[in-house]
Amino acid sequence: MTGKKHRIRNPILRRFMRRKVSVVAAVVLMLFVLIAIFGPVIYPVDPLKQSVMQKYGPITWEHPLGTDNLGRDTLARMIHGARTSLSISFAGVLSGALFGVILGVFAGYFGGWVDSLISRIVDILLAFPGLLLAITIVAILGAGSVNTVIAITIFTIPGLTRMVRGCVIGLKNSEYVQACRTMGEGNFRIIFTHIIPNTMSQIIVNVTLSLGTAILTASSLSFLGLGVTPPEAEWGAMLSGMREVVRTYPLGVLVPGITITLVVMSFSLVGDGLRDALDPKLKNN
Amino acid sequence: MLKYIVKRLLQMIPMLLILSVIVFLMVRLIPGDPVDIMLGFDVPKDTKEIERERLGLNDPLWEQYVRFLGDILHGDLGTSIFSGKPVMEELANRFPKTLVLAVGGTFVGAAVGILLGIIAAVKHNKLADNIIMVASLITVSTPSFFLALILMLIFCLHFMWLPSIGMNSWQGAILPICTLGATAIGSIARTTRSAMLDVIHQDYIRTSRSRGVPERVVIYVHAFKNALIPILTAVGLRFGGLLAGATLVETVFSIPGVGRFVVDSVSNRDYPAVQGSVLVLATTFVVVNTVVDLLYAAVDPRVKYD
Repeated sequence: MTGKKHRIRNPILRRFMRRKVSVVAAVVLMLFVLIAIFGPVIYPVDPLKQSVMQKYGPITWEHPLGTDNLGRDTLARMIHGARTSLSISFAGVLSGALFGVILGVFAGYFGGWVDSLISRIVDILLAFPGLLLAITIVAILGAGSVNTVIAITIFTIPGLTRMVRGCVIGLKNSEYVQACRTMGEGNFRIIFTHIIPNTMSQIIVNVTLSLGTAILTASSLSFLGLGVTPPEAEWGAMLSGMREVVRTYPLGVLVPGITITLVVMSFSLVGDGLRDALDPKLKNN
Repeated sequence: MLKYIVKRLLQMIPMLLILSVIVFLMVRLIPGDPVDIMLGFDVPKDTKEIERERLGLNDPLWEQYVRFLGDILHGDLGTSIFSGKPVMEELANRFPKTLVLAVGGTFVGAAVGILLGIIAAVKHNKLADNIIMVASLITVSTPSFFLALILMLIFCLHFMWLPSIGMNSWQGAILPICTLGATAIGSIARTTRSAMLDVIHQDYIRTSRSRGVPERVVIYVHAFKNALIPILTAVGLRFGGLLAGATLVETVFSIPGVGRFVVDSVSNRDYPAVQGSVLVLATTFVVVNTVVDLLYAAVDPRVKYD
């Protein structure tokens, strides 16, 4: 087999691998997930340990990314921030997706008043400009990580519901679903064995793209002081804490800022790559 | 056409009513007694009861809502607990600043985004296209508060060309508007590119070219006009995002706008102020969406009016 290029069997993976930027983005994301999980073990520095003598420290061996306004190690805070930011976004988007899929399937499959009711609620949620919706939810529930997750959940639901509803309406009238119904299959069996698996690729793409938006929203809330409460490390909150000294110590703003941008961009690229890989028909749309 | 406009305007009413219900229920959804939150826990029971009676919290919920709605229609949004001033007065000072930011940002985002989108479509799959697409991806992914700080660092603190605080002069408005606009460039450029690519391969564009119409006219007049609907949608949608996104820019540049007011009010637990500003921002968004819908009909005769 020498000289012959190794060929990937799975057609979806093969199509995904063809888009090099998306592959790089996927590697970057995996790296961040690994850092979030194992980082504190590999780099066991306390992110909360203050040291007044070492405020705004430069890049050194001891502090690879410098120190912040309270002398805390920036790298340790970035690693713990990765945990906070990623877990908040994953928890929020996944629970939002769960509700979104359920509501979308119900609205699309059953139609009638169920559809009207769900669609109207979705319209109203979409009538709130994104960040304002998140701020309103935090205004009701109060700041904190759990409430940020709830805000992102509610924020994610309407978009997914609308997308899934559209897909389900298309599938519901397709011939093979009609055939299943004629053969006497029940609604729930049709939904779980035919409808949901066939919308899965679009759900995966939508969830990936929502994760990027969720990171942006969560960090925006924390930046405004409405998200994760101090002293917990979160990228947006870290950036907010350092903005007063942006002139004398730009490193404090650059490190979390570039990281957020990189992660959001990677989610976007992986989402695009997945769309091309999962649904070749949609390419160039 | 007139019938369509009236119909579309009437459709705003239920939307705004539901919005008012949500904003009204907002305070009732907060765990705990609103009077406790407003006065604090260490106030005697009698005082609380008087305050409850004064605010009408003992009345049935629908009666409270009707009164709330009546007050709004009379331009009364309640009194801010924090400053003691009417919320309407607070908002009247702040709203113009946020509006200038959002409208200015939308114009900057639309102008740059549409231009880049057209160039990307014309140079499809060439170097310029790739550079523009990478740049728009970066603008979409960069948090606006980070971009604001970077621009501030460069233009205000390093070169000292522009003031870094407030929006008291036109120079002070440049950077906040550009920051906000930059966040919209990416999505508008992407939409414009794909809308133009759809149109460019149509028969009537080929016909125009073969008739010897200059390429510039073909692209900027014939093609662009037909790609306008999705572009308008993208611009309209971004406006709402910028209205809310202004909060972040207002925070960085210390501009006393509505967005900053909402955030401060949330932190101060000043609920009448939160209600008032959420209502005003969301209403603006609904009105703008309606205007965008009406614009479709104006720019594209193919949109049916019924």
